[in-house]
Amino acid sequence: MTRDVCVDAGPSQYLENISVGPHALVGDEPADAGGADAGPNPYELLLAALGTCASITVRMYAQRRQWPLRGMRVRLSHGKVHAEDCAGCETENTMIDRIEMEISFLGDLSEGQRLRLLEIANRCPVHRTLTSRIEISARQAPSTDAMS
Amino acid sequence: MAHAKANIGTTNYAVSIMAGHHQLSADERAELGGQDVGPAPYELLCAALCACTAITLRMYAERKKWPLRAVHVDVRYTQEGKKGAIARVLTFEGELDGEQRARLADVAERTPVTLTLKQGVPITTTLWS
Repeated sequence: MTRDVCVDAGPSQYLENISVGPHALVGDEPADAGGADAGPNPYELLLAALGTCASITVRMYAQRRQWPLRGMRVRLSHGKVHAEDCAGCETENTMIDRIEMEISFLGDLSEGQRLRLLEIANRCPVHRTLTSRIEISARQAPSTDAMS
Repeated sequence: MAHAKANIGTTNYAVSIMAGHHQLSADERAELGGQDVGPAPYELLCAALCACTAITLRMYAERKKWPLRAVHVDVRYTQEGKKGAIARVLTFEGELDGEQRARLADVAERTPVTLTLKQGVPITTTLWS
């Protein structure tokens, strides 16, 4: 069960306090976007979610099979690219998101095992969530000014 | 363009992350074999959506010079079978009328991370040695 995540953004530009169970995080935007860079920006958090999920899922898989995986490194980047059938188009609405993930495995693993682990990383739950479409329902909480 | 790196070693299931140049830790809770030294992957996903919502609404209210004093966003991820869903609750503080509040709720539907999650994003994965 995923714990609820709460964010409070007060008047200081664009810093937010994020709480997840007992864990506190800070999110912000970098200076060139008007923030103070006190924490990662939203897309960096999204990449962190994917890299973490891939790492944990692969480790669980290797452990069950008692494969000698000593460690794993994941590098991730997110950017907007032109849709493939629209190379050269310049209008904004032809841009689509893309995430690239590079993985290296440490340990005495065969080529077959490395390829299998790569496949497992590509099937981790957050990967599935990001590559499919997820429903987001929203509502406003009743009121507001009474809250501190 | 956003970047992050994640490293896992042999301690179950602590992951050290660099998100941009910010250090984070992630883990699973004890019932899944971790030690809960940081949020779990789906909690980071919820955090990304929360952060994007809060920042986008603040930018919007600022441009409009609306008296939005604070935004609270509460995001919950649930999964039934293979189908995941996210519920988001917004609370606004400040002297805003009903129309402004409704407009902010509408803008929340189109923040960048909201659109990424709703539309899905292609992910390419390669081995680097």
